[in-house]
Amino acid sequence: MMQLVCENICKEYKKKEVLHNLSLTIEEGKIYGLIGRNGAGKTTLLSILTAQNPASSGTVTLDGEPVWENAKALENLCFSRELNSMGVLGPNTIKVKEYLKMAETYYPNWDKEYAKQLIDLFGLDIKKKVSKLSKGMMSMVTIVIALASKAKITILDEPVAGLDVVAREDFYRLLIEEHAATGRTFVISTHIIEEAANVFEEVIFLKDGDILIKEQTDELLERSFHVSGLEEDVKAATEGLTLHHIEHIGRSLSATVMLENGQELKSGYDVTSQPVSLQNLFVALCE
Amino acid sequence: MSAIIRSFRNHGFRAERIFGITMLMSFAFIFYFLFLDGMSFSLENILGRLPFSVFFLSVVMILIYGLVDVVCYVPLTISNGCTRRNMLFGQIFMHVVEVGQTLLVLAVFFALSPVKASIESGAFLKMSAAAFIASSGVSLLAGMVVYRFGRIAYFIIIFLMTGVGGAVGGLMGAFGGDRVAAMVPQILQKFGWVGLAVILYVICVAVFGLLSRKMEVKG
Repeated sequence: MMQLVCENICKEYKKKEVLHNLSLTIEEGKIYGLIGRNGAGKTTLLSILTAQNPASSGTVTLDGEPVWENAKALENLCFSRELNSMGVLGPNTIKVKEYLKMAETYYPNWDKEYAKQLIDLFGLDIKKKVSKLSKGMMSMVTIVIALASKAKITILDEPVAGLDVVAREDFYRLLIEEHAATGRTFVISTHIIEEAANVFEEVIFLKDGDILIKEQTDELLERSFHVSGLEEDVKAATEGLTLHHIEHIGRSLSATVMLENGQELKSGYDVTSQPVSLQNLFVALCE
Repeated sequence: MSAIIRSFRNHGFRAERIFGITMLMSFAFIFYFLFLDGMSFSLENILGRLPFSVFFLSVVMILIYGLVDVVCYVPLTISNGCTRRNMLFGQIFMHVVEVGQTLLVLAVFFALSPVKASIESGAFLKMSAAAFIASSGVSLLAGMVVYRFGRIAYFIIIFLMTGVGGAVGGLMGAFGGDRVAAMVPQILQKFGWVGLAVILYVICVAVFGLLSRKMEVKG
């Protein structure tokens, strides 16, 4: 089973550490969601995983082989990064057609027919320069490259940024279809958590350069609750548990709790316990 | 197809593109200056100006396009999973193709040129090779400077070009434009410029290779 493993990754920019001794394993055949606030280090991490940028220290391996400067390993990886229109002179000044042509040259399993279908589906004007595209259209270019690359481990950085709701639905549908048909591994970084939560098999919460949580989505949500009631009742019911995102309204208290192994809410108190959404859980843990 | 061949294919395509653009521009410049000089667009006049037109434009285009290539295409190449080593070999391949085919075409144009040139063909080709090789090397470093420092680099490059342009302009003003233009090939003939250009190129490639290892691909 193919595994992309990073161990003790540190990254510094001008003496500021943005990733702290981070270790992570990406296993074959899953769809991962990478969620973090702006500046948490998501793009930096993804760049290092795919050898596009060097780490300050630590290792990244694919099936035990270092990824850095390893052409064989890189054939199995695709990092389709978020595009922007900035820069007088840069990669975004070339036409979409040429952008895709370069991807076709470098990804050995590139599916030209599939890329054409996606271009038609999204209505992409491939004669336009990337910098002249709308934000949504740039995201579509990202998606075309990621899906048509047919790389075994494909990473998308903010693929739905700027997409309208119909296009987002199309993307999730295409992702699931491609995953079901090929078993490819996808890692998707996104801020639109609720929509994507149903797609993610496993979530990774990144906070200030550290991994806060890496867990199966359904297991994580099964042990996370939003508890509310009178303050004394809530505190008694959640004794010994860590409370997150505490809110006081008069004499009432509400909070988010995550149960660890063997833990449970104490019974006999007048509290309301409800499942918490992935988005609300992330807000509670990362505020 | 192996990774290195993919890199050669991609860089080779860009070498052909810049060669084609340079040739088109050379002809365009010839027609433009023939028009300005009030001369006819005869084959003799065109062939007479072709070698030097191609030479000067090629030096400039290899430099400028090489710089643009580093800024635009090198990050894109790495983004698409190319190793920095294969990217470097691809850049070298691109320069070899550009310089090689331009020299070949120059040899043909020079042989066809009816004008009695102030320089014999072997020396002209050596001078051209030296200039193209040096230009290729400098383009790598100039591109890295622009990529790394962004807009500040434009000012540095403009400052350097105005300095060089000012020096050449001063010499032309002092000694006369035709005399200075005739001096350039004479000076270049006297020294082993090809060898020096190759050494310069190797140094530029080495520095570029070292810098590209730590190059950060920006979003």
